Order: sequence, then structure tokens, then C-alpha cells
Amino acid sequence: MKRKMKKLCVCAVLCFLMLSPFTLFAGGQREGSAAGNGGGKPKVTLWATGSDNVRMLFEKLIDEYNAKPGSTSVVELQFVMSGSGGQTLSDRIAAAKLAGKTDTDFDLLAENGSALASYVDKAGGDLFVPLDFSKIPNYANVKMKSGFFTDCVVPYRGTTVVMAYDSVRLPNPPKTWAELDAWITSHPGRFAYNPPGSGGSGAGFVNLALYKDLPPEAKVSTDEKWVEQWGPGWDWLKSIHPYLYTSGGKVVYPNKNQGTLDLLINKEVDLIPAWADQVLTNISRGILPESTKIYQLTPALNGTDVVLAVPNIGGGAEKTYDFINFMISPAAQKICLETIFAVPVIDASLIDSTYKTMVKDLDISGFSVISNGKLGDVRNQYWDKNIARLP
Amino acid sequence: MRKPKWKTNLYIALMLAPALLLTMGIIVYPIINTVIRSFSSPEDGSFTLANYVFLLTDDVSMENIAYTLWIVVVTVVLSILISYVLALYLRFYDTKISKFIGTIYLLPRFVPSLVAVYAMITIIRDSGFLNRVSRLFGYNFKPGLMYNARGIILMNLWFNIAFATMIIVAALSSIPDSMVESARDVGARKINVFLNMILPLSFKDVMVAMTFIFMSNVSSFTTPFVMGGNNPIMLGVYLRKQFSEYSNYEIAAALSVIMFLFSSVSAIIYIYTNLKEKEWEKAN
Repeated sequence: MKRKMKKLCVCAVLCFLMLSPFTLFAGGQREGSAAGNGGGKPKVTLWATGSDNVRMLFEKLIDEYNAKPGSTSVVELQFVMSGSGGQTLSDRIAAAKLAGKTDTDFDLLAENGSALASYVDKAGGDLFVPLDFSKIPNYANVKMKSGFFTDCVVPYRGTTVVMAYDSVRLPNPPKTWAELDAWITSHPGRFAYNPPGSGGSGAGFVNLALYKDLPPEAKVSTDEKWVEQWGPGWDWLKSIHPYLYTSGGKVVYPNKNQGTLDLLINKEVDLIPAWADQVLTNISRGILPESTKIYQLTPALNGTDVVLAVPNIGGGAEKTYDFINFMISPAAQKICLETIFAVPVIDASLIDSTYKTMVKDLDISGFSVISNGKLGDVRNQYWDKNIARLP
Repeated sequence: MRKPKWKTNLYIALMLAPALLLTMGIIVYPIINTVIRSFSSPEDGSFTLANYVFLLTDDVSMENIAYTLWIVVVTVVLSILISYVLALYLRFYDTKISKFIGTIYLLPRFVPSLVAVYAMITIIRDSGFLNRVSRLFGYNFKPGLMYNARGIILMNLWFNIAFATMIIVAALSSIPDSMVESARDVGARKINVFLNMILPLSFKDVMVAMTFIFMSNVSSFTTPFVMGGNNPIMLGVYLRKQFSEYSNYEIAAALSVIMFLFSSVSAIIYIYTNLKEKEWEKAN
């Protein structure tokens, strides 16, 4: 009997052993499930990715749309949380496309305009269907036409990295790159940015350092030749390293967008690059004090429009037009603004909301877009090897 | 025992089949797939050792491996030491305090790990609870525990002491009071009772606890990701980087295999100590 117990124990250990490292690597593939059809209207599956606030936004918008009497389709959300499987959304669409499938449920995609390049990199140039804008009447109100695949996408909100600071501790924040450089070196330990691989605000900051003096075409190119031009940017990032936030005697770059925000919340630093919507959400919830302010550097940190696009392996563009049209209506734009402080894509005068003042300085048409697709991996790897390891 | 008939055997096989198939599908197949991928070249999928060569020669990778092993070994040693003392106290001292600790020491097992990690951070970060208390008294104490190995080890202890204590307490409970008392009656000193009776009798269970702590910490992710620094990083975080930040799927696969091998070493030690019969046990 005793021996049997031992054998069982050994088996249990072996099972545990097999599971532990592999579960990390073999992690989640999830497939969309087909749900019931609402009163004969066609079903549109919307695929989106981002942080949890984006999921909340879409749930709200879709409830609103599906409950609308005039809606011509039933929208269902498939959300891929960024950081856990965000990358696999482009991989999944590419895999379906390359496998020759044409009748998938990838009906509609919501994604950062600057990220579309990586979809096309993987799945081919014909992935997105050109749209018939005459069937989207509200498109006439959209102020900013996307810089990427303009004929195939409709922007529905803007999002940008900004500088966030506490106006009590820092009455006059540095406005230009030169001022920022001088401020960081004269205030050791009061500035932090997160590793570029761990969140978009750190990536935006590093991108600006690398691209600010490069020609405009470099910012939207995935050509490897630009990697050689990053030298001065890397040198600058190395030069500010000793003056950044320290803990336990070492310079530290806190992981994730929230990591730097936590430092600002806990008054450990005075100035950080951060996503505008995350800062504004934290202020509105009282997590960051009212004295927290945001502003844009000159030259501006990375911003992008977030767009809706129709992959050519889904159910076709026709059934999605009504929902796209809804997304850029004043009612939906108001929901975006009030749920996640999204920068509206239509004229602010059309939206009736007191939240407008909070984003009034963030003009979507002035956004500086850096879209370097797969070069982002090169950037992250170089940063981890050369900046993170500085003493 | 009666010899089972073939019908019974068939019945057993049928009952086991779903579990077996599931295991093959979700454990064995991905493992084989991962091992194959770890030997594949990213360009054309041909056989190569380059992924392993990279991991075992690259500076960053070697630093991460050493760092991980160091943290895990320190975690194992400290949690076993602390747990053993705690278990001895719970087993042999019958006071109100020991009873109270006996009821609450398992609590950490029921707190979700992410919640526990964030709770710990609010206390030990440089602007956290400890710092605020110190400022009430006019000091500015900065624990310096965040973003380095010390914080990760502290958190690991928080998770593992409860678990190790649970196992060791169970082992100590199976030592009858009468045995200890009779040894004391014939004049054995406390230290001798401990070294010659209690320690050998609980040794195996200590090995079990060590093995499990080793394995669960070699591949841990949450704590090092949220509390760790930027360099070096533990292998769980490094694996995620290779996988979802650099898109080096082949290297990620090789790294999984290496982590698997680390766990295997501890499992082999465990199996060896477990199957080895003690001389005096054979009489049972």
C-alpha cells in the first residue's frame, strides 16, 4: 500500500513538472464562438485588442448599437487583451488568410492605425477591403483621414502618448526636447519611462528619441536600413540613464504603462510619458490628484488614430457599414470620450459633453505617427540588451 | 488478490481513455511540438542547435539563468529553514499563540497571487506603508526592495512558507508523542531527539517540499514580472520577452526545454529520495 502511494506521488510530481514550464509557452489559443442571431439581422463579429478599458468601451458601444431600433446588424465582440495574446490577433488573422480561408468570422477589426502595417506584413497587401464611403454618411464629419490604408479604414478615435506631471511639484514642465534633456539631468531620479517592450508609452518615448531627427518617411517605414540611423537616439537614451528613477541604489524602468503611472501616483517621480487616456481615467477616478496635468512635447510624442477595417476573409463590408457609421456618430463619439477619454475624430462642437475640455489640447490632426512594424522588435531587443543593462 | 478478468481490464482502459487522450492532446503533443521547434531554424525549419547555443552563450541569457537559479535556491533554502522552525513550534508547543498561528498560517494559500503581490508592493515600495510610517517619526526609510531580487525572494517566501509548513507539520504529526517521550525518559537531550529522531523521520517530506518550491519558482512569472527589475530578469519573464516581444518562437521553445530540464533535475532528486527505502522502514 505504502509503495502504491509513493508511485502516485511520483506520478503527481511528474504531471506537475510537465505542466509548469510548458503552460507558459503553450498558452491560450481561443476561437470565436458563434452566438444566436437576433431577429434575422446578420451577425457582425468585431475583433478588438487593447487594455481592459477598451474592452469596457466596446461592450458599452455594442450594447448601445444592438439596442438601437434602426440597427441593421447584430454585433458581437471578440476581445484579445494586449500583453497576454495581443500579438496573436494579427497572427490569427494572418494564419487564416494564408490557409486560404475566406469565410471566417473576422468581419471587422478595430486596431491602431499604426499597427496595421504588421497585419499586412504577415497576411499580404490585399488583407483589407476598400470601403464604399458613400454608405457611411457620418464619414463626412470625420476631421482626420487616416494616414494608413486610407481607402480601407475609418478612424473612430485618437490616442496619444503625452507627458504627465504634477503641477504642484513641477509648475513649469519642460516643453521642448532640449528643455527635457536639461530638466532630467538637473533633477536626478524624478523622471521615469517604462521599457519599450512592456507598454506603448515607453515605446512612444523611445521611438521619439530614435526618430525625432530622421526624415518623415522613416517614421512610417519598416525598412531595416533605418535601424542604422538610430545611433544618436540610443546615445541620448544612454546619456540620461544615470539621471532616471532609482530604487535600491539602481536605476529602474518600471514594467508596463501602469508601472510609471504608479510612480507618479506615489510621488516618487514628477514627470513621465504616459497614454493620455490612462492619465485622464486615473484623474477622474481620484487615483491621480486633480493637480496632475498633461501636455504634448515639441516634437510630439507618438500618437495614432484607432481605426475600423474589414479583412477580406470575413463576411464582407456590406453588413458592417451601419455599425461603422454608428461608431463615428456624435452619440458613439460621446461614449468613447466619456468612457476612456478618447480623442474624438469628429468636430468637438458636435459632441455634447463636459468632458471635452479635458482633451481639448489633443488635436488628432496634429498627431505624430510612428509606425515601424517589425522594427519594434529590433528596438525592444536592442533596448533590453544595451539600455536595461547599464549599471 | 483475485486476478482481474479481461473484461475488468477493458473497463479500466475505457475509463482511463478520455483522461489519457486529453493528456496526450494538451500535454504530450505540445511538449513534443515545443521540443521539435526548439531544434528548428527560424528561417527554414531545418535542424539546428543554434537556439540552445544562443541561450547558453549569450551574456544576457546566461545572466538570466544564473539570476533565476540564485533566486530559486535562496528561496528554497530560506523557506525550508523558516518553515521547519515554524512547524516544530506548531507541533511541539501547545500554547494559545501556536494554536492561533496554526489556524491562520494557511491563509496565503487562499489569496490570489496577483492580489498578494500588489498588496506587498503597497507596503514595501519606496513610497509605501513602511516609508510613510517612518516619516511619521521624522525618518525617510526607503526599503529598496522593489525591482530587485530581494523583493522577489520576499514575495516567494510569503507564498512558499505556508505550503512548506503544511507539508512539514503533516510529517511531524506522524511522529508519535510517545516516541519522543520515551527517548526523553531514557535521558536523551532535546538536541539529540531532534537530530536523531525528528530530522531523519521528516527528511523525505522536506525533500518533497523543496522539490515543489523549486519547480514552481523556476518558472514563476507574476512576481518577477511585477516586482522585478529590467536586468537581469527571471526565466519566466525572459520567456515571455522572447515569445511576445521579440517574436523569437524557436528560442522561446528552447528556453522552455531548458526550464523543463531544471525542473527535471529537482524531480529526479525527489524520486530518488522517495524510492530509496530506509533500512529500518523495510520491517513495515
